[in-house]
Amino acid sequence: MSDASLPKAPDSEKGKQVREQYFTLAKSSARGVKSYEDLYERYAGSPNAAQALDQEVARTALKSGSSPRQVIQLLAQGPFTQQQTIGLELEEKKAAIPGLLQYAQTVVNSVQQQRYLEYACAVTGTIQSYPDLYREYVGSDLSAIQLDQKVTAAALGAGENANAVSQLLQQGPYARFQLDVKHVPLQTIEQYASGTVAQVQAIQSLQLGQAQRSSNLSKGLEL
Amino acid sequence: MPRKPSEEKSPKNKPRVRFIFEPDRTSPNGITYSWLIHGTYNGKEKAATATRAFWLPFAYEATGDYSEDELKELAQQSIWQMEAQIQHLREKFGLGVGPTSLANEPLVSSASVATAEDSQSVAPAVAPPQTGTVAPADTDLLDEFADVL
Repeated sequence: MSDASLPKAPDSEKGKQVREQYFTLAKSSARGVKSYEDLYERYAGSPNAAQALDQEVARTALKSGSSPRQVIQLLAQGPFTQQQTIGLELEEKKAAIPGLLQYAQTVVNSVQQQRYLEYACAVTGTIQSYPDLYREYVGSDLSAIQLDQKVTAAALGAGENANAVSQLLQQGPYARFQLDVKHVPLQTIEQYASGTVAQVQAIQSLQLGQAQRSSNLSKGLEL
Repeated sequence: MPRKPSEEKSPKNKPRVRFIFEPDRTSPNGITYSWLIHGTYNGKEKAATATRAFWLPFAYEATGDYSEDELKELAQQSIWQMEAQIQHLREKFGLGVGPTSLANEPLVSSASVATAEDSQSVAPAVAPPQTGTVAPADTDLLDEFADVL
């Protein structure tokens, strides 16, 4: 592939950092790639594979605690988005940006919803789609909040950090209903999510403390 | 012979409502229920949820056992359920966003949702404030995205 068909280096320093970050995360999915250009060449010719790579990168980043907003920016440096802008004049590129942003938002939201769904199915013992889950829980704030609490416990138990879980809850039925239908400010939902995570962490540490005390007690009895 | 529409005792002695509905499969009712029951997850519950959203507050009012505040809460819950379905219809069939009367309302005041099944009381972890900072506009997101592209 000639240099002309490779994406040029980002203009901004932040863009360069984001490209480096994308490449670092993508390396685990695209084994054997040695450079960003190598990655681009492998994926630019196959939009489906490039979109699948974006999904994997988004999932890894969200799981490690990056905010959806950061991950949306990350996808700007994916081979799929870069391929869409290559060779465009400045004005053409400007015109393409809203559509590319929408693509990145859609990927991030759907990956995060899928992550929530996987935990929700695990804790409820059911297999269902996200729309079915939403409809089942949206009718009762109580059951939707309880589901958030169970998902939080499962995600923390799986080793996710508090920030990642807090972001995850913002794609649960409770948060989506409050944001999309009731138009509650995002900040309110962020407070709800981080508060739920803190509450579940407190309960888990209490349970851990009790278990340790109980273990110590039983050891004492054995002696 | 049609069944007597009276309450019957279940094995556990709880009074039950007997409800048999056998629409022609090619009718709108038949197509809808057939799809719900055979084509979706938990379809019977979906049908029941839709009926409750429409009529539960009226039914509870008729029992005479609920206060005016409780009935208002139930009616509000029904409205939210139906608005969620409206949103789903808009997204699914590409109808776009319509006017809403709920813009900028505060978060639901408590988690003591008045559904018959809910007996526990679990409050949200953080009492939501009545006002908050509006999320950054999409133009900010657009600028950030363009900056790293």
